[in-house]
Amino acid sequence: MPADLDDLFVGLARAADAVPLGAAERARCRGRQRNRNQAVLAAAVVLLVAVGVVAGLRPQRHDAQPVAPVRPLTEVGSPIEFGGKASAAYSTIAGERSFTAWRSADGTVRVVAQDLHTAAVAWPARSLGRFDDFASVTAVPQALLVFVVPDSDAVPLNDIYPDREIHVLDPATGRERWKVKSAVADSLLVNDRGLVRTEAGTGRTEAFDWSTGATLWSVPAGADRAQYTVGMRTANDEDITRQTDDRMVQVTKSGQVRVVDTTDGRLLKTTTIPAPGQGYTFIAYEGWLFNNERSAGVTSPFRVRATDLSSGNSSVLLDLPAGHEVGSLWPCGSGRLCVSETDRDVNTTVRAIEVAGGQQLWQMAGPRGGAYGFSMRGYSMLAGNEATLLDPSGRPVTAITGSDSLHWLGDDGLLVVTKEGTVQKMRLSDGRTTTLGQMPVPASMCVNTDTRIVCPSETEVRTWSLTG
Amino acid sequence: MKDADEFDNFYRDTSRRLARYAYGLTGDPADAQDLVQEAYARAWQRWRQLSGYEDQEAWLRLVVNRLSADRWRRLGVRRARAAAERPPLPAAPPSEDTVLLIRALRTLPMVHRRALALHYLLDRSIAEIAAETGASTGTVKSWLSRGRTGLAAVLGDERAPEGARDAR
Repeated sequence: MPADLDDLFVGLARAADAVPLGAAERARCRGRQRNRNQAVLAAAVVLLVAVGVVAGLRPQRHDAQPVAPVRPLTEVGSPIEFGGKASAAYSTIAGERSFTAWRSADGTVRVVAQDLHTAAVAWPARSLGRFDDFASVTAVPQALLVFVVPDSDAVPLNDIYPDREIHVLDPATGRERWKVKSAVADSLLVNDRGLVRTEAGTGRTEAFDWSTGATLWSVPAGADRAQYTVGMRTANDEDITRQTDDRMVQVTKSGQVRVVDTTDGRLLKTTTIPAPGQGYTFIAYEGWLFNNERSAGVTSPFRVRATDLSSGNSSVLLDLPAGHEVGSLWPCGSGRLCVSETDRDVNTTVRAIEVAGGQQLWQMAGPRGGAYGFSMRGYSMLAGNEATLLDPSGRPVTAITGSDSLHWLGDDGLLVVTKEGTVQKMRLSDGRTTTLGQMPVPASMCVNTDTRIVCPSETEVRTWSLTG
Repeated sequence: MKDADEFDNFYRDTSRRLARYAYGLTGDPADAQDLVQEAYARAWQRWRQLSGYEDQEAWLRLVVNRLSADRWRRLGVRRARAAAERPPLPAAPPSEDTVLLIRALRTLPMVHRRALALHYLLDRSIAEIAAETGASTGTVKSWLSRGRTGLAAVLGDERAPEGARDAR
């Protein structure tokens, strides 16, 4: 044995230096996935991804359209100026209104509402106070939610410290109704009656009334507390901020699966799966629960599990080779699950599996570095270092690089905003694009409906027509 | 992609050091891999905020602390057995000395292991460890001393407690 600890630790450092590490892009991919898992309420659009570096849309099966001057997009109403440079600004849409919140240089967070059709001010900018950070704004028909961090010195060094405040406003008037503290890792779901929060730190679940903030119901954590909470989605849920199914699924530390009615907190069903580890992904969809998991100990290979919440039957859908990781799980059509996985060299493979029978329907190579997916009408958008649109049979329709954001548009399209501010509609079935117009200033944080796109910048928010 | 480039540069410059730290805390290469990936994933989640911090690496280490502590608590009941087990092999098998050191580290309280990892694996001075942990320098010296003593007891090396680094 060496004579002193220095030599021993040198040997340990050498062993540590030999541990293979994943690429930075894999960490970013995992971070994006965590954001998606945690930000059920923070996402106001179905799909918003920032991809690529160089602008350009690359249809794979069509020649590029002739280059022609792009006409300006038709602006609706007048810009609403922030009165200075904002450190952050986000917009959201609910019903016939858009809402934009921004944080000024002095820390004041303000929010304004506009009529979506005319862009007229529905209620003037209201101040919520001064905060160290402003995270997001999202709206549901019953409430407008603004996420802020009051004191960044108290910013947690973990995800379960309740550093974040959610201010709940009346979307009709802008009046602040109530506020609640919530950690980044808390699970947040909404239904018609209120906001349902499961605290990551305590495991306690509580539903707050939209109007008053009063507790509608609560479930204590108990000894076997919830580690994961997800809302049940259906094929109709194009907007991930709302689930049409009023059920949520909690997976406890021991692996008990609890199906709970979010309207009253009733326990509807229980079953069990292997105890979950850290960083697992759970998806509840059409009565099934899907998750990734280690097959045995902490170094064992990953696999994908499917649990039928009606019968309680649970089985392994996919076993991955050693060293492979699940990057993303997403439903990609009724009765189908898509899985994105990466190997040690961060090569990505995407598979679609028919859930009931466990049959693999197709597989394809995804973008290097990992990818996460979203789906609508059976089409999937793979997003990572680049974005690829897949048809229901797994065939790439179009690869997109350099777009600033992508949004589902109507039943059959994607709205593509390039880094230069060109707004295009892409048809899902064949990837054909139609240029709708050019924004004078590129904007990356736009939200849209089928007819309007609302884009906040550092200094103002502007509304544009998508129909001419 | 300015943020992504900055983050990737940060990852390239710091991830190896974080892996050392994570390995020192857990003694497990697979855990170290997972912890490093998870810590950087969390860093990317809040990169806009984190990129303004003075000491981003300290933030990462605190994330690793919490995650490894969670693992440790979960494994607490198996601690005695784990201490006797040979750790799983990493890509390059560790030397026998390293295996012995890991086994000895696993018997120490987390706070002692953390101080030893900062001191020996990241070359942090006592004053720097005190600043990072919020403890006094005297407390840090005590952690290091008791950590060395604990290691010596397991390693059976009578000369180990007299580490030569107290002068920093």
